[in-house]
Amino acid sequence: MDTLKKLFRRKITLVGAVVLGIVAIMAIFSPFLTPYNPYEMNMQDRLQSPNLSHFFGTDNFGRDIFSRVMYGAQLSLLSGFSSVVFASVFGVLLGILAGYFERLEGIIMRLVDVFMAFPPLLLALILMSIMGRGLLNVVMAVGVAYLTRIARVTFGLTLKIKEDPYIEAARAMGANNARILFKHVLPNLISPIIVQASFTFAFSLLQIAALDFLGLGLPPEIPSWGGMLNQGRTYITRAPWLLVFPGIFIVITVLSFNLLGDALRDELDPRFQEEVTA
Amino acid sequence: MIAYVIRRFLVMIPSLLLAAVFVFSFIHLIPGNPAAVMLGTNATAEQVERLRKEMGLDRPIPIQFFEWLKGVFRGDFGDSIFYNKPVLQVIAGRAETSLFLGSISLFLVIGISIPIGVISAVKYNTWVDQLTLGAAMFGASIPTFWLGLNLMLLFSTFLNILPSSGFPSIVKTGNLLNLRYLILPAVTLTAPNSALLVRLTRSSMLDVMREDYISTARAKGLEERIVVYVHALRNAMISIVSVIGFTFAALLSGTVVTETVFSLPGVGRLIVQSILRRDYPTIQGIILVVVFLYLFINLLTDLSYALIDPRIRHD
Repeated sequence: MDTLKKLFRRKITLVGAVVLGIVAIMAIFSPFLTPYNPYEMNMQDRLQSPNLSHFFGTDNFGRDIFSRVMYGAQLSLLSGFSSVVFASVFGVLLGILAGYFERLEGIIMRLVDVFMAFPPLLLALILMSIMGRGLLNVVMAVGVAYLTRIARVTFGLTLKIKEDPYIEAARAMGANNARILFKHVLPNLISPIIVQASFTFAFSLLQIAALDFLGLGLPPEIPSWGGMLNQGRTYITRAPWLLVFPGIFIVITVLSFNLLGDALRDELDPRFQEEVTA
Repeated sequence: MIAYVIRRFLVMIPSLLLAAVFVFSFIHLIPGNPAAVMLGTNATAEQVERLRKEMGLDRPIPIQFFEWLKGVFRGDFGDSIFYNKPVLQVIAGRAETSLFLGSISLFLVIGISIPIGVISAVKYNTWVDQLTLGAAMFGASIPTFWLGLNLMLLFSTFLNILPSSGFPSIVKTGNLLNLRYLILPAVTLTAPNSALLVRLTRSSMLDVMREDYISTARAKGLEERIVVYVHALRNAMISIVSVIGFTFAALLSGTVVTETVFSLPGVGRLIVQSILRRDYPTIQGIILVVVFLYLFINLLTDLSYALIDPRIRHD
């Protein structure tokens, strides 16, 4: 409770958490809450500006933007969360192995370096062009870029933790490598990884939106925030609301994750950022 | 210093080779027969077979790799399927836009972020600092393409003072006024990328300002201005420079999106178009150029550390 109070010491963090809560509720309950079917086309109602029956207006196929934005929340959070999990699980695994077992360091970290030589969006584009559109592919394509960054952080921290006296003590008591890794090294990595994950969430959301916007992410009929912006572009002058609402939702969601990440970093590990960037 | 430069060059070679292997494998990772995928569903079996032969895809993979690598060293990256021209020529034709856009943005990012970050650190915990941090956080949370579309809507559609798309070549026309086509794209690229650098400049300045030699400098009676800009900033520069390397990578990714939003004839948009056209040799060529460029910038970053901090080159 005390930690929670400290975490929300700054009012703005609380605002971020509330916004995320609302977006999450939208995402989870969208099938019950949306006033219209997000896929249903209705040519008579096309390109309506925001009004009482369509809060956010309608698109060029007469689909209700409000409903599509709500479904978009579901996909954005789901794909963002999955990429973070993908990046964290494999990143931590690679980093911890490379840091703990000297023989593995060379090969793992060289591979990580090569992938880090590609700017994240470019790497995602390359992978999408190999794998093709689809939710799982987006998750992996975006996750890989952050996997390498998490692996780097984990690697550095593991090297440091490995030298700590309690690790030596555990080994003297006869603990094997697996026990040391899971019982002693991993728990010490959890707070920096949580901090890293909340920022990764923000980055992934932006990358996924960019892929969808470029027409290389999810299939176009699926309502994603980036995809809606891509389709709305054509009508930028006639129907600016097609741009406004999905965009605002991307911004507030990403902003909230960044705010939360900041607060978590200050709370869990004040020196963390310096260590990562140094 | 020279020994350091040579050592850094040698360290780069394995990374370059591994990157080359990855870029080469790219075409072989495409499920199915790449030649068939590239030609689409309307192609006849003979056409597919001819392209397969032409691209050398019928030969053993190690031989293909060495042939390809040999070509790369000679500057022969293969031919674009879509343009029917050498890939390097296609990329060169698009380079002007991206180079202008990238360098203007990098210049803006550095020119804006470092002073703001320094001021924010000097005014630590005042409203100026809070405002800067808030703005930086907001900037980092805006998708590049959304910012671009909004700027386009405001300045091109409503106010009608800046062009919304395209970029007529300056090299060919000699008309420097064409740079106005790049104002909105450059601002679009600069805003989100400045955010990280502002935050980092601020935090490294704050770290440095706590050091003993800063107190000493102040105790000597030096002007605060000199303490900040000469003593603190120079020491803070090391971590700042490391982020400029990141910024460059971020700008590279950013040009992909920005050039697409503003329909600019650059390399970033070429890669998106090539992916949609399944023009794999062109994609391969662009990736290779970008990765080389990126590793080269990283090298420059490392070398500039050594220039700023004598301790590094004597290590």
